[in-house]
Amino acid sequence: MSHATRPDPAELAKLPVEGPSFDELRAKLDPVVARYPARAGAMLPVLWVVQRARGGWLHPQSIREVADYLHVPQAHVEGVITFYTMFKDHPVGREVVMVCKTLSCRLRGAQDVIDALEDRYGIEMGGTTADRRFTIETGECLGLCDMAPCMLVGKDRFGDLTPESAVKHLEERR
Amino acid sequence: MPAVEVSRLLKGAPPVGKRQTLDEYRAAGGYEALRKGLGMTPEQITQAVIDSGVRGRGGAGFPAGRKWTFVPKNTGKPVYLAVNGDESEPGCFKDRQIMERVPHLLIEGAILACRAIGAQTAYIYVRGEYPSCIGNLEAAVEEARAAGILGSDVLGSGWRCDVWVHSGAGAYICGEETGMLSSIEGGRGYPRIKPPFPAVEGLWRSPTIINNVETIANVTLIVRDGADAWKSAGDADTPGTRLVGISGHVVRPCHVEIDPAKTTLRELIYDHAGGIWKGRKLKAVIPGGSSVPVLPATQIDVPFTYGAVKAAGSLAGAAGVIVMDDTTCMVDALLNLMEFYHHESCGQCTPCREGTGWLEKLVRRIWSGGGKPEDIALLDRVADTVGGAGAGKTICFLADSAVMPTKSFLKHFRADFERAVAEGGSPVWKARASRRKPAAHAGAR
Ligand SMILES: Cc1cc2nc3c(=O)[nH]c(=O)nc-3n(C[C@H](O)[C@H](O)[C@H](O)COP(=O)(O)O)c2cc1C
Ligand code: SF4
Ligand code: FES
Repeated sequence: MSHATRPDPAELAKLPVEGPSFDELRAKLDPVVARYPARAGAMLPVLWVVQRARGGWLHPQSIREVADYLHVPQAHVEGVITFYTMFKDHPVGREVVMVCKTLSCRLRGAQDVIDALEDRYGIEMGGTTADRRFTIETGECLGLCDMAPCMLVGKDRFGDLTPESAVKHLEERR
Repeated sequence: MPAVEVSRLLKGAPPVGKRQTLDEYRAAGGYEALRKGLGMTPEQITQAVIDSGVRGRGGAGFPAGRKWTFVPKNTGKPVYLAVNGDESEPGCFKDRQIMERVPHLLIEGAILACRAIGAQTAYIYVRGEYPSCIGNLEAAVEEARAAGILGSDVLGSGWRCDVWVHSGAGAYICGEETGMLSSIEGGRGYPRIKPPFPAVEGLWRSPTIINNVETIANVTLIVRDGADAWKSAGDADTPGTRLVGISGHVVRPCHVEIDPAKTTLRELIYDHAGGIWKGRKLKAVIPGGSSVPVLPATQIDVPFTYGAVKAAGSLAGAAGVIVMDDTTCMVDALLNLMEFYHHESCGQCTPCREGTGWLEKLVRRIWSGGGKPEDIALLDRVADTVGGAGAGKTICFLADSAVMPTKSFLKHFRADFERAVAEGGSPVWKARASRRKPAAHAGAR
């Protein structure tokens, strides 16, 4: 499990924390914690709620607050975040685009789609568009092989992509 | 034989993208199996599942009823059910059909399974890349709770049962059953050494049964119709229907529910999926998701049962059929898979962490024109060092899952590797190198 280069945590800590305060989030989090016999079980759902509510990534302050809330060391929370590709420990675009690069999609032209997006936005996969609208990354088999090649944009899926249609779908969302 | 679809699990299912509501599900007889099950003893439910012979649909095909009997009695600890909806195996998209379209069928099966194994809490683990499944399952759980189907008094029986949806966050290894347990407990998805098996010591060191989504959805049908009626599809080896996904170089990539004893791999490809695209010919097929051995075109006249596909040299696995046409460079296809396994290795075991990296590097060397003739034998040897079916060198099966494709690609398609060595790389790499900087290959990171 590897992550793209991570910006300096000290620099990240200087960024403002977007969204609600942690106390405001508690009302949403407490019922989730109650689903698990041990507080730490709620780790993934809690991180999801916090990440969504606070600009799509987990600020160093969020990490500290989640650790306190779940009664685990901060290093544990960091370990979890770096293991899962969908948790972000640095700022990302307003939506994350996952372009499938795995076999069924590759067989039907995923590489051309990836090339087209890299060219259109002048970034490499994993990068964020200049206007911070999208972070575009590759993903492993999205379970949409019947619509290969495909991508997931936030919660929406797009299939039977061509280089042109992939760009068009993103442009239409701006 | 013409393409025959059977309709059991997906009977009455709305089209892809839509969800069957509680009212719709009930109008079609939904939750009647639960009512029936509440009138049965846990042993009777377990016996029905044993009698059905249903085998786990997550890949390994272990008999579900037998697994349930491994739960120790009277330990004083709670028992848990973990439903595996991680579905991250490349080529597989069958569980998505159930979770997204007929979530109540799964919830009903989960409650029945809880009843049978003595659990009162089930977690349905859904991969993070399935937002539609997560949303639809959560909505269905809410409906069921509001209707008194879940919660402290299941259908007025006085028995409590809760089902929670637990979203993953992008890690293939969380589909491995003990990796999933680590993830539900809130940690990195590290698989655990077995024994102890999860049925004895699973979630929070309590007895835990892990079953695939399709396995659990079938429990609803087994209780509803009885084991004998349920067994009328399939054969003694593979009773019941199977949900299969077909993708890759076919005219019509699709999913289909079949009678595995009456449908061959050839029919899946040529009838259900419309044959090979662009008027080309079949070269290779991976029948059960990316972790199983690849088959050459000559091996597809077999029914889609566990036993028959195994006899043909592969595994029906998780029923993700990946089809490759005669223009496919098998070096390129294998590189894609090795990138996947290397990326998804959790890193706990040296043979896996390092070995999947070596495999990827060696295949990439051959792919990009740097391969020497002896590299092909080297690749074969490295694969043996990393693992293989039943090699048992690592905590979990991921390492072996990378080895099975490697060995079988070399066995059946060695010529492609020899050509890539002799001709300065895979045709895919050569075409790309002439257009772009090679480093821009998506697998470079
Ligand atoms: C690397 C790896 C990944 C796996 N991924 C999945 C998966 O995504 N879904 C699944 O149901 N089983 C998966 N399995 C199999 C599970 O470990 C387990 O056997 C299965 O969920 C048990 O359910 P079943 O008996 O009903 O099939 C995976 C196994 C391995 C080794
Ligand atoms: S075999 Fe690989 S994925 Fe499985 S536990 Fe070991 S390192 Fe992790
Ligand atoms: S390989 Fe792309 S969705 Fe499955």
